[in-house]
Amino acid sequence: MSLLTMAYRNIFRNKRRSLLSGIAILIATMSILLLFGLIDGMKDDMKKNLIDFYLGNIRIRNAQYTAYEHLNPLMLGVPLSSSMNALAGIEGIDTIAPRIKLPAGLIRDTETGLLIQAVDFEVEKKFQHIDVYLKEGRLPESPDAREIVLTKWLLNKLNVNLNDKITLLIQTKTGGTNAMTFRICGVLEYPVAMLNSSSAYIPLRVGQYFARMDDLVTEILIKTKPAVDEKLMAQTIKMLPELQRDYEIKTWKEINEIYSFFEMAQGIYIVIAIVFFILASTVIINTTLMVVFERMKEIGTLGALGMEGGEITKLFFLEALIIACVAAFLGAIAGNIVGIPLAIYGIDFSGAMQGISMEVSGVVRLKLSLVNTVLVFCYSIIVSACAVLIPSRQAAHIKPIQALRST
Amino acid sequence: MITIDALVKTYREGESEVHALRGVSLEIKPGEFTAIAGPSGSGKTTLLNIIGLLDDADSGKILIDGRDIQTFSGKERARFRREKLGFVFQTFNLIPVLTAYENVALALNLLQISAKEIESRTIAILHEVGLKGAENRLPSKLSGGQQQRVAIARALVKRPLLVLADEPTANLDSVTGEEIMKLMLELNKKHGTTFIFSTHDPMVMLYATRLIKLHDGLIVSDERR
Repeated sequence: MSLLTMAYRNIFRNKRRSLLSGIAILIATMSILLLFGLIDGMKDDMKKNLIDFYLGNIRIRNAQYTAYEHLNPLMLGVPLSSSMNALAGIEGIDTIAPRIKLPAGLIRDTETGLLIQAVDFEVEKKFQHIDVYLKEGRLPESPDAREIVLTKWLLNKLNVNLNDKITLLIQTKTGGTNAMTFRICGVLEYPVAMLNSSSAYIPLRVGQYFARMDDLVTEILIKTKPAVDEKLMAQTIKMLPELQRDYEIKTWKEINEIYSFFEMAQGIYIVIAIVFFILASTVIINTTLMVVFERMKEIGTLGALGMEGGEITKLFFLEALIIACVAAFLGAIAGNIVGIPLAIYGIDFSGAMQGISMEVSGVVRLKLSLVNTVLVFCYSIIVSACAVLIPSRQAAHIKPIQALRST
Repeated sequence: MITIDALVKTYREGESEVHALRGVSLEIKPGEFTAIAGPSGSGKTTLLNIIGLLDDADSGKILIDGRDIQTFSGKERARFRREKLGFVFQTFNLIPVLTAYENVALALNLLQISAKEIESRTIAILHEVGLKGAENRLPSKLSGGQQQRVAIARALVKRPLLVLADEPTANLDSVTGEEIMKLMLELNKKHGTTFIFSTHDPMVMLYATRLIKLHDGLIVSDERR
């Protein structure tokens, strides 16, 4: 008769109480698994959005541009042709997207500001899949077409319609002003609230001409092929003679602080998870304590039979550990079952995300992973085990005579 | 041989003191079937608990096989109880989740012996105490007399030096009580195991080959039969 068998049978002596302890651990495991899935889902979503829409894996800018960005320093650009030629020889690059950021004013009865981006639409189809987000109309027909695509949100804000013409006023590279009229040829709708409130695109060549940029662009975004180390790639690009000096070459992680905050927050969530498990463990601690006091006479009998304190501790510890293991296992399964529809259909945060400057989509899909499941399962067991060790050890300190005297 | 010399035990209950044993001395030879008799509060259970290493005396000495058991550490005490002592309790004290067989085998599991030997010895002792066919029953499915038979089997299966039984018939009817006493005496004769049991029942005292009477913590008579 092993201690494990005895511990297992003891669980069924008070089924309701064992069930209650198990449910607490189950709910904690399931909740933490879903929480971790949500954080991972948000992180993945943010990473995708940052790379696809904002920064690429690597961004090349003039070293001074970021410091003076608020002043629209178009003269601090990156020469497009020479850079493209230099980058063409590097292995592991998937797509290169040159962009020009142009703060513009809408000339009408009043002036309204918006940030337009001059882009190569053919490249953007591959880079950010811009065609997927096109809800009405089409993308500009040629690189020289004076056409613009706006988000639906901007369309409503500017009170214009598809096929309307709008005239934009900008400051050129040399500091002069220039105006150009564009026909609205397409309407975009992004899953990211922040993108919807700020995206307006014109063809790259038109943008270069409009701002008198010649061969310059304000930034070049690079998307790397899968499994390519972007840090290493950035280092390689920095070594190119054409880009060795005067350029800021950074990975998306180095640029975006919010993502780093998310990574830091994940560490905090691990601590929160421990606290959560400890709270759930109070139920099992209480149960174990009650069990120890209820089975006092049994402890005395086992002591009289010659069982040592350590073995008596083990008996109570194993009983609680079995409950914790089963509950954590079921909690992990329940977390995955509940998580599957949330991973497929997502959770709609679009209402809450309105007006928030964060690169997270309105609908966040949970990311369920085997690693997280195993991690949370082990976590749950370790914390529960540590928690029940305290009341279990209590049993070892009871003298057989005291235990036998109890009623 | 068990030698008890000037054993004193005093319990403190608040500000008052209860003198449970006031200098008890006696010798018990191997194979004796000894009854410790006396009214409630005379010190019977305290004496058994101290001999069984469940409690400590305030002063005095107990030598079992020449070893002063009062000097044992906690671990040594547990080992001594495991290997040399058997206990039979008034309320049987069987483990409710274990069957009759498992309750008896538990005493052997604590000793480092083979599974095969555990099985053969457990089955043999259960048959000896008249529980053939009841091996797989849980304590809740056994009568009081059967439960006490399991407890006796559990005490004897490890072939102890000494069996201590604290009022073994107190929770049984008179007929079952007599059966238990006959069984204990029979096993004492068959195995030569030393038995010390406490009682205040005159019927039980009749079975003892030696009767020691305690009163207020002192031996008032010691009669061999």
